[in-house]
Amino acid sequence: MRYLDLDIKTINEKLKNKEIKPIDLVNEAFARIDETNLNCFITLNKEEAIKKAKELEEKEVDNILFGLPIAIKDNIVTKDLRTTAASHILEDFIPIYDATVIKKIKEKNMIIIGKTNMDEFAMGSTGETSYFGNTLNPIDKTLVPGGSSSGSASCVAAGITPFSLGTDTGGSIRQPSSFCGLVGLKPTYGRVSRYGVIAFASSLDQVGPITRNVYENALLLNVISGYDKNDLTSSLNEVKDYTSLMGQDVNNLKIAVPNYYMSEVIDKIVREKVTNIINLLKEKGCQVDYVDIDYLEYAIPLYQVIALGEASSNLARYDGIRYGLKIDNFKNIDELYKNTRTIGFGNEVKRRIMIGSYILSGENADTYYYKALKLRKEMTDSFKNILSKYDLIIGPTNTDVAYKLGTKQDDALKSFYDDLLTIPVNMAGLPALSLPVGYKNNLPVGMHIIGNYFEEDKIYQLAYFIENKLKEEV
Amino acid sequence: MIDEGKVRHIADLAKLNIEDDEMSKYQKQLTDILTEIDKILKVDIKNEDIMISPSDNRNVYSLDVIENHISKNDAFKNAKRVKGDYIVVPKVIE
Repeated sequence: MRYLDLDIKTINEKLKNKEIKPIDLVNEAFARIDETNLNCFITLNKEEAIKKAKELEEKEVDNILFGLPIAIKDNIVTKDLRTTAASHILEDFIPIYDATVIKKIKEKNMIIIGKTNMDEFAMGSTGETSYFGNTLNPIDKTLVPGGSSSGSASCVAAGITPFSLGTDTGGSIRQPSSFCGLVGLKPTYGRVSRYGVIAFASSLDQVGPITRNVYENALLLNVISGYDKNDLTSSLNEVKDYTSLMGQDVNNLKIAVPNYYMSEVIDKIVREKVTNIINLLKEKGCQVDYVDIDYLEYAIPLYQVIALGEASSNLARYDGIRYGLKIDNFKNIDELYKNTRTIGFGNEVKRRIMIGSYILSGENADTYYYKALKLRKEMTDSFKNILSKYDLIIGPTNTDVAYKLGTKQDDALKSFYDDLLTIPVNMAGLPALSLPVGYKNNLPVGMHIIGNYFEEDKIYQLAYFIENKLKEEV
Repeated sequence: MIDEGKVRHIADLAKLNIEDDEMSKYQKQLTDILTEIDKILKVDIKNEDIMISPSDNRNVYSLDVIENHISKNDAFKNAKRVKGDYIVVPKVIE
């Protein structure tokens, strides 16, 4: 038996009564990395993790996450631990400070096992754009784990760590969680500090937890949430205990299902699984209505303008001068920039920063970017209108389940279309969770639960109810 | 399909080189994305309001006090060349 396969409360009890020590958990995690061979880590933190585990033997077990192993997506900076964002351009980058979320998990004495593989600069939906090779899906190694938080999902699904942190700009926590049968939450924009997160699209990026179940997800959100003076966009809104509504009756909840989320574009079996849940909730007494949310059909081009525009600006900092890769073959400064960036960035990233630079250049800024900002406002107002009448919005997380590695890699639009249902949530800045609700051909189907701003507690309330109901059925 | 000149112009904006053998690939891929993006031009929006970020926080100013500072050792950690108290960078002026 592995202790790491037990639930968190049980592990915590065993740590408290000294039946096990943190080093036992750390050893299990590293053993499983070797056994599973999924390429879900770019950099391991073995020496430090063992040292930390030993140190913790002298300390009192003072919180439920004490001594537990966690994996961190490699676009979140960790002091003295290599952080690459899965890019050649940052291959040898050693951060000199900890991101705020890292400080917070260290304060709880969680143990960082390593930095997880991902799509380069979080751009992709399969893990295949990583400079360090693709991550495998532990359910079936011929399938993509989803992305961009590929390794963070893969490692939790493989039982290497019970917790990981991912980031979500257009679906990068929810989509891999869905593909790997896990619970993944993108918090409300501003709920979690972005200080120390390598920026992709600053107005969309959020850090969030990926876990085996709903309760453990909320426990990790409790820890990473909160205002941070180092992040102007972090919210002063009070941090709740996100587990507090779990177990409370859900029959008073009013739930909306966007017609767009149940349209023909979505795989039939995926829709069936979600419909089963809708029926379950109706039986329970919930009001569930199908609604229209305006402008959802423009989410992808909207995302391309906003996200790629912001990305081109954020990635301008990789110039071969201050840190990161530098190519020595150049005659002038322009050549230094170009030669370094051409070798340093992969194809997906190049394509995206080219589009971003173009749509922000000259008159295009007015034509495309300004129009997109208006559209973003309209789409957000449409969400707000629905959420003024309903507590939660549900639907599928993705259009389908995990697919084969190497599918349609030349298709420049594919990675965007994978995020069809997740992107609108980032545009509005709302919180949303993916929950496994069944299988299609033995592959997990994820259900999306979208909440109102800062109402992650209500999302967890419904998710916890559904999770338990499904457990009873088995 | 966008022409080669436009691809080179776009690559130049992003400070990237395009090799000749990649040209046709980029022509197609950039055209695909730009065609997709053009869809938003057709949307009829009456409202003039814009949304830049979901956050409505006001600007926050730092207090004028010395806080945690970065040590010299740390600051030099990722530099490619260091000479004494300086980071050596390429010449950026003609």
